[in-house]
Amino acid sequence: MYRFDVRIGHAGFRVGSPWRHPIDTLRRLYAGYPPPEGGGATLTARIAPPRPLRRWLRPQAAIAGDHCLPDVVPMALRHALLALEMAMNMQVALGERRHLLIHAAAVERGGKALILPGESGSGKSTLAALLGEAGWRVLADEFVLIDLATLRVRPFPRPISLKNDAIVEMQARVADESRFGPLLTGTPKGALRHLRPKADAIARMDESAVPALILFPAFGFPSDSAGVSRSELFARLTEGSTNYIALGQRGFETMLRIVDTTPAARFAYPDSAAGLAIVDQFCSEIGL
Amino acid sequence: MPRSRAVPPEILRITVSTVPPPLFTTDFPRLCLTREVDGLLLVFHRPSGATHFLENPAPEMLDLISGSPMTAEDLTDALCERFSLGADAEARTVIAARLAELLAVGLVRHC
Repeated sequence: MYRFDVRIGHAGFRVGSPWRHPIDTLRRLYAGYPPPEGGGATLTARIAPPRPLRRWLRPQAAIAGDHCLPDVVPMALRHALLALEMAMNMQVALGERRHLLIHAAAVERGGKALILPGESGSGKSTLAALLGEAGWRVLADEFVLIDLATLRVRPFPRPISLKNDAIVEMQARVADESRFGPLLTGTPKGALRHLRPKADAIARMDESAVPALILFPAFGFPSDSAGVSRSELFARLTEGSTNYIALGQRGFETMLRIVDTTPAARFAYPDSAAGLAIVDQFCSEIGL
Repeated sequence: MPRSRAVPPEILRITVSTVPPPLFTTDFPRLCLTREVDGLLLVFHRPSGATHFLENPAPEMLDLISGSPMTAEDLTDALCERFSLGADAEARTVIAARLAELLAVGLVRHC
């Protein structure tokens, strides 16, 4: 078994694979990330062939680890990096109990966090990647972690998962090729390529931020924006949280505090330039 | 000669009329956390860990049966009195439907 240990925010991962090259790829993608604190990883994520012969014959990678869902379909070995990333996601999605998880990307500026929740395809990852190259610090892609006691956003700066057209767009903006993972084609979400956040986001992964604004993006529509009521905000954030129910009363109370204290809006945008302009407008309105 | 199993109608009537209508009760608000948001009542039900958004007349229904368990009929009367409405057949149908929903999500139970 090949192994790579890494710390992302508060989480120490022990990542394993019976094949060497997925671990080598992961190691390159996570270059600059520290090892787990005290040398001890607390979460195990791994891939393994679903049956012994699948290690060599039309090889497939099944997702495994401390926390796992039954009947997750194995992937072709050429998508092993995606399988490892999904295995790591699963440990957080199913195991996290110290923070409230919000399905979103987040960036920070001046100690204040802009949270971008949304479904797959809403453009949240692309916007976070764009903002991360434009003076903002990337806090998270996919999972935003809210500290249950302080309500602050705990950074979890995983590499950003870029899909399809966003790949070309970010390749044009990021000169350092080593920050990109390999191009994966033919995945369930089309073409996919990971982008490691800037070194500053990794170096400052212990610096939390105050939630200051929540924006729900919707890519591919004419520019438009509208406010989001507190009831809708509560419903949409809980709907996208994988551990809200598991946290019970603490989850309810934390979510209410976010809804009470954080302004929220939605916006539609046809392209990146328009999206960035709308985000900028919202941020200047609240002094962010 | 086969014996008839038919129940005489008068016996059937007596049997039905002696079954008491079910009484409904609730954990609300004793085992719940509540917050009004945008005119809706947000309820966290501690025993189930479930969160609910309630709109009128569900909060009022829970409030009425939280004091003492009631039948659907009594609840309809009390609710209509509170809102100064006539307790007609439509009101009974609506209240029965809302009660069934609250029963299904665990905010109301039989006692």
